[in-house]
Amino acid sequence: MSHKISASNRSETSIKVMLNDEQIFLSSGLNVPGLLQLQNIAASSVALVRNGQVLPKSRWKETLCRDGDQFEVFALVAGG
Amino acid sequence: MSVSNADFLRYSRQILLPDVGETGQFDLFQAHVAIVGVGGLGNLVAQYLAAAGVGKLTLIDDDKIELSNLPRQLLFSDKDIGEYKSATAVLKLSNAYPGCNLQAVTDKLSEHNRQDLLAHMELVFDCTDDFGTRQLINLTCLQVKAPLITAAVANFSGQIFMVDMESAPDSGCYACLFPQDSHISQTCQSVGVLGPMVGVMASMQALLGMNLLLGIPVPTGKLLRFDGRAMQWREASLSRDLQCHVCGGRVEQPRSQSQIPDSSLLCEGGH
Repeated sequence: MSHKISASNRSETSIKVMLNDEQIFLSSGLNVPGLLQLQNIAASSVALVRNGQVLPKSRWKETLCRDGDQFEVFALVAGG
Repeated sequence: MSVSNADFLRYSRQILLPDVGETGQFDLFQAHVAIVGVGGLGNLVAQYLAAAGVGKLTLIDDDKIELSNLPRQLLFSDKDIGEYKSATAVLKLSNAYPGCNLQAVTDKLSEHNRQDLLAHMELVFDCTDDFGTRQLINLTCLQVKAPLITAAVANFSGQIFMVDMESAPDSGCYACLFPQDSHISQTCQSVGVLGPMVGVMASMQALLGMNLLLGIPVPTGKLLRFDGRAMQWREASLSRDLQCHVCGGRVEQPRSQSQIPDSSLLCEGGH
């Protein structure tokens, strides 16, 4: 089942979040790994900021996306 | 002890700052700092610190200079190709800044030498290009209680933050943000980088480090990311991961060796 909701078919349970400055609509009840999977982002190579605060990877599973959440997802960089 | 007349003149623009003064300059003279990785970031951080009058610098890198390093590793030139980065940087900086006591370590930071190399450092800079070494530096800094300023750059992305479990335990450590099983998709070798992109991040690293050495209040617990295309900085508050394999088990307790895992548990990254 897809959690992505098209703009023309938003149910009352849909929520709006920002992901790297882009607005996306989701059905409620989706957790962070679900969000990343939906966006085709490999969870193993990114870190995530939720509403200005780093969300440690160990808490991703228990964290549900809420309406108005602002997410920033970025790749780990190791070059020097 | 006071600053000599010649040094007063040399460092006058620093001493002029109310936050620095002669006391601050003297603090820089007294500092011993380690820079791990003498590539793009390490070249510039080392030069800024040596030029500013930091008393003692230890440069650690087992890499040798290659042609493809020259566009961004500005201490090196064609005739240095094949030489050790750490030894060459020490030679050049010692000539330019004789007041700075520079030491080169041409070994890779590893399980065998990490404690000896980083113990007693007032500050450690992570300027490496290798995820495994970054994890090892983080672990060692926690153990020897040295503040760590870690920066990384690839493509048009830069990241910088400070780790100091003594002054900011709630902000966690490097592994809280990037656990050891993370997958690195971006290195300078794989995605390229422009010299000034490295320069921006190295300047931030050197500035943050100098402020720290000078006792100027620094913003702790902040992750800063730079987008070199959009010319945009973003900041986020760091969080400690209570399940972190490096620092997670030590929440309310004083630091001790036994609570920090052996580094053999950490992954070793490639170049």
